Amino acid sequence: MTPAAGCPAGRTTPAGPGRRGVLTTAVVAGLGLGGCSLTAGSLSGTAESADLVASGATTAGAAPAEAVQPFRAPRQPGIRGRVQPFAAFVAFNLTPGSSAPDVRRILRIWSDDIEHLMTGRPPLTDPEPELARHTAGLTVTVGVGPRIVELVRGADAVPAWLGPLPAYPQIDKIEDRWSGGDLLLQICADSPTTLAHAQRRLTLGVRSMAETRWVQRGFREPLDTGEHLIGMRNLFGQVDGTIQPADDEPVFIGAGGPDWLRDGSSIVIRRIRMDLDKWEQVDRLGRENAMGRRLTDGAPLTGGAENDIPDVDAKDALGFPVIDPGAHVRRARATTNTERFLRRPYSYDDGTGEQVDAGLIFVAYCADPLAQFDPVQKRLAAKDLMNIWTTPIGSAVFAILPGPGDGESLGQALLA
Amino acid sequence: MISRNRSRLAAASAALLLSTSLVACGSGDSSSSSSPGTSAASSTAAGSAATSASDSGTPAYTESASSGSTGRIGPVTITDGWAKATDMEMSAVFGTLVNNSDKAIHITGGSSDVAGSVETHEFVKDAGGNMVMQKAPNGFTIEPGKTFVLAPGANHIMLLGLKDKLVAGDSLTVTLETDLGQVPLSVMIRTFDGANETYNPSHSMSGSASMSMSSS
Repeated sequence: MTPAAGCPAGRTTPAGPGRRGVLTTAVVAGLGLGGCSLTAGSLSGTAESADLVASGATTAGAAPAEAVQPFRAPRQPGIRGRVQPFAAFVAFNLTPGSSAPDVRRILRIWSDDIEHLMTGRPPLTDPEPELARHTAGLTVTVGVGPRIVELVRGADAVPAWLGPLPAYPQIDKIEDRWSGGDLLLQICADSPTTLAHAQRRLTLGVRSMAETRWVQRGFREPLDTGEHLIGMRNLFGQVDGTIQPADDEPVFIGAGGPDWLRDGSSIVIRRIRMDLDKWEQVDRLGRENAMGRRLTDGAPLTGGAENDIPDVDAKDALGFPVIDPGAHVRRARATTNTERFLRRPYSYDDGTGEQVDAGLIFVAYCADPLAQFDPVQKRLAAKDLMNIWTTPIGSAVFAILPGPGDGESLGQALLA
Repeated sequence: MISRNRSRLAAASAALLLSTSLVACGSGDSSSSSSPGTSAASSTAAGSAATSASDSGTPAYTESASSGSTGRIGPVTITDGWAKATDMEMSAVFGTLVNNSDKAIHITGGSSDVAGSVETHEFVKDAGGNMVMQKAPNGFTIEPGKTFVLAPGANHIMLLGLKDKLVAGDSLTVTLETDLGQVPLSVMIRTFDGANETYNPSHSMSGSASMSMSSS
């Protein structure tokens, strides 16, 4: 499977006031938890990984009733910070004949509308202004595909990683309808109404220049176990997506990247179909063996707690490895400090309960997906017991623009 | 009288053009609103934005988009101002006009590089009980420190005889004629499905309005 579904989450630091603050512990510090896919990229047994901590703010905590996220900042919102429970990922194609000036127009319109929406003000042409008053922690994050960069700055300016990921033929069943695109909106909120309104305004606002290519809607929520908060469980019941890089170096683009992407990032969106019917037939022992972790709390099968290091060398009484050679936790372990990225996954369920159409929208942010994400994905494609129940059916990569400064629109540096 | 290429429009039936919707005297309530001085992005320069103040005189004040963020605040600014994108002959400017001065300001008309003429329009009920738009006979008056909402289906600034299409994401400048001088306002052009009510020139008190109904 992708470094996505199903990793035991690290404990998180409750973000909300009044939460137990005990989990800030450097629980994870220095630990090569290695882990489950979710932690795959972020953990390694190397000393350099000592700075990894469970980034509580990324997963847990109750939202203030009317949370307002800043729009004007060096980095766009929706990457670091609390993960809202509802998301829509909307990819667009430029309409045929669109040109660089149209890119500027689109980014100008979106900047104005996003700023209005994130601060609870109706966008200019909003016929339902009342819906804009409830910000519900709304964040909108804008990305561009290779065609945009080529139009504006030429083909040579397109980063090597900005394009389709390499094929992973052992596992991929990628469908066009969930893949690619020229532009991306990641819209996240605590309210599905706020989200729907923002999605419609932003889509209609640019419809003369861009048409929707695909939409993926997702959901997740932090869970309070009574002892600590976990980021989410996926629809297999696995604790998912918690341990994250504490430092920003793996997540945001620095001096090593193009100037116009400084403080930007990349987003990898993989739609992972999860075969709930086949999973239904697997008993808990088999489920835990496939992951290498306990279902109850995500602790490694070799013992300890959720954030303890799996002992991949441990043998049982008969001499067999405690953690299966194909266990997700073993395969997903980062082998270098480079293999780290920020994960922000959501579940999706478009089925009926009996008819299954469900899975995970795997979302990863990093400075260079080819260097940081691809090695982990390659390893998992080659061998991972979770591949029995999971299938990647969509894949897209976008460059996440830097945030706008005062008086600027998104893409100021791109268009400069 | 329309200089740009209108071959596409010429192909359309004149009847259609005459009977429907050209633009902006629209319906619905809408978007105006919000606190002045908070928008920002709309004030940035757009690529091919059709900006520039009227050349018919020296502007008394400068004003920047909807943000009001320029150093000198003119007597009239516009918050969340916008104009409807169109490839027809007419459009309109909406938003919330703000009187920053301590005296009533009377807006009598205006001008714009992108339009043949600019008028202040209002919506009134005609003898048959239908809401129709017409040129506001006395212009608009904004009381000191107050705002004046321009919205589809209500008061608005009409742009007539557009010289080129108005493209979403660009900006345009309309210069208001006021009793305190000329006030240029820059607004973003936006796609909008409302503001489509029939503009029947027979209801209009403005003889000049009917000119735009023909398709060249």
